[in-house]
Amino acid sequence: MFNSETLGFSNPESSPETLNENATNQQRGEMVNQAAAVQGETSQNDFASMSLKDLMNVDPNNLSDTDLIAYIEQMANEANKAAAREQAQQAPETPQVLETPQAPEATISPEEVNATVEKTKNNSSAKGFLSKKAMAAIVATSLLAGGTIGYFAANTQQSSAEPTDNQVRAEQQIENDFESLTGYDKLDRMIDGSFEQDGNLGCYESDGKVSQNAVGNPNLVLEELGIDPATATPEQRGAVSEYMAYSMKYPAAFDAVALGAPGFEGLSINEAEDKIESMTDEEKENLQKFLQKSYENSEYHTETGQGLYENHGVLDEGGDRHSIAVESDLTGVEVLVRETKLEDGSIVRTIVKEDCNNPVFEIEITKPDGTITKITVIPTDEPTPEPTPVPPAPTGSEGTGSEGTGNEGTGSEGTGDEGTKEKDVENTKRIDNKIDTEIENDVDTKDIKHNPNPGVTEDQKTDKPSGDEYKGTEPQVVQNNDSKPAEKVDVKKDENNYSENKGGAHSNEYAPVKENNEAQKKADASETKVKDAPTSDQAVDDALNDLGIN
Amino acid sequence: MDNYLIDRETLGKFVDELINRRALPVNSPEELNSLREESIKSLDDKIGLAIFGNLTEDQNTEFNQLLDRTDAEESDYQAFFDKIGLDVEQTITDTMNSFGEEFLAGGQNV
Repeated sequence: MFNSETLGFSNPESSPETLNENATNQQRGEMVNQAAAVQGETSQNDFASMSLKDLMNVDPNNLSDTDLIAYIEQMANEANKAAAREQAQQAPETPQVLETPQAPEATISPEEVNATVEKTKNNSSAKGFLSKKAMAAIVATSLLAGGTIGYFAANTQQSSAEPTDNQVRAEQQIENDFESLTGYDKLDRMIDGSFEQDGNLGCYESDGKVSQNAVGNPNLVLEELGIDPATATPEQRGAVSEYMAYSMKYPAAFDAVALGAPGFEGLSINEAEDKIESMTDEEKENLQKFLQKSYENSEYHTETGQGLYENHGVLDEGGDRHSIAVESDLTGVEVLVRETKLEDGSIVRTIVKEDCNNPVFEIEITKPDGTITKITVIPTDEPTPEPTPVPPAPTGSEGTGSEGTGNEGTGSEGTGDEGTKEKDVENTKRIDNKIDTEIENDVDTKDIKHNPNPGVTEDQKTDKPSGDEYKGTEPQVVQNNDSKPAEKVDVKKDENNYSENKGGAHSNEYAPVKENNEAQKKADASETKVKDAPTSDQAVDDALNDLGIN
Repeated sequence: MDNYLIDRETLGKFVDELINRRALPVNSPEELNSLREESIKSLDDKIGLAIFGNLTEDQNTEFNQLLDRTDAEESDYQAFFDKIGLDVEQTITDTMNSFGEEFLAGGQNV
């Protein structure tokens, strides 16, 4: 083995003079000859990373005395390592322990680093290991907070490099809600490749499969739309990101209602959202368990929806969510279809956008008996009626809506043979009056009337038909077949105009739904024509029971 | 297998966030894309150097032997780095932070 002593230098700290005294002329001469080929100056610090081969190419004649010491020591180190390698090759079972305690073990040369890096690049297992570490590292970087909600800054034209407090709050709120409900923490999602660093709790496709709770990578979505992510405008990127953030924040509410989670039976989506917000940790844990059980066999896929999307939100300093209008030229956007396999049925949750003013959220559930229940929600602040059972489709239940609903906005196509219903506004009014009458009888006063549209006052009601196209209310109420003549009812001439934001619990949460005649026509076309409205007390009672009101 | 040590998509996310945070001296989408690719590659190289640049000869030999094994799993790599006392995640985090700081400061060599 070689070391500085064998090369003639007993003390690494020796002065140049000492070195010259101790080195034999032969040793020195050999080194000079070895390195004579290369000219140029090399500093002391460069030697530490040089291989033996590189050292051999250095001309020691050009070195200062100090550098010469470093040079010689490095030569000794490299010579030792070469000897160790040779020994290891001859006896591989021998532990590769260097026998040079005098010299600290040097690191490998740049060439060796490159060789190892290149070799690692071609090793999927090693590469996978490092990539997962990198995913975790991304979160650990200081960019995390700003990165996860970068779209807020984009949407609000804020250009600050540091996230604002409300941006951080928004990210934390979404994250906490998600984790508390699913138990699927950020690290798990990162490991699964399901953490979308660009801003959301989304996932990206991998090997053609979308990970659990995936909503699609914004870049993939943009590419799908024919937009180069590198040149996407903040509005475009924001539209996609916000959509994904929304869909990730509220699936629990959707699913809790759709799956009939304990305590969520009969709740509207908005009510479910409120309920989740106010739940205790224990209640959330129970809900999480319930949902997780349903999620276990879920399958996911994404589809490209037709129509525009516009539903941007920002959180103000108080943490309230506000809608802001951003012109978007997206002509389609990736939608998530999540199919949760139940024991004998399935739930298909589709989030689609009818047009830029009417994002539509839809859940379709196929129950074990073949019954298809569909929940369609336009996220405005009007109360959201409960699921609408639909007779089983003769063509089978499983997956009947996934393709169609994903692409058709309201999902009326592709959901099976649900028939065509015609909206009966008068019927709803009769029910409203009936409820008021019952309240009057129960509490013996006319001062209290039920309000199906919280936040909308009497003077805000208009004669105009509702601008929303929510189709979940008409349902079984209109299916009764009563032979008695219709009872006389006072027909309300006013009807709420949902197309305006009238305030209320969620007035700031969604973009106001603007009147959309085309959408209304489409919604009307998908409803079952009502031939015989309930006309008797019994019929109305039945209807109210069905709605869970009585 | 692409020519990256770390999953390119993963690095791309990081670089995209950096790009979003800095006004870049580019005049066209092509230039921007080129800068993005260069940055991803540069970050990948830096991470590789940070992880492997400090290996000793015998550590490097052992790692290469691990790479040669067809049955090596990710846990084996974790065990290797645990054994040599290298916190890979921290190393990558430090590298990314350093890269990010330099990038946002307008460094030309990132």
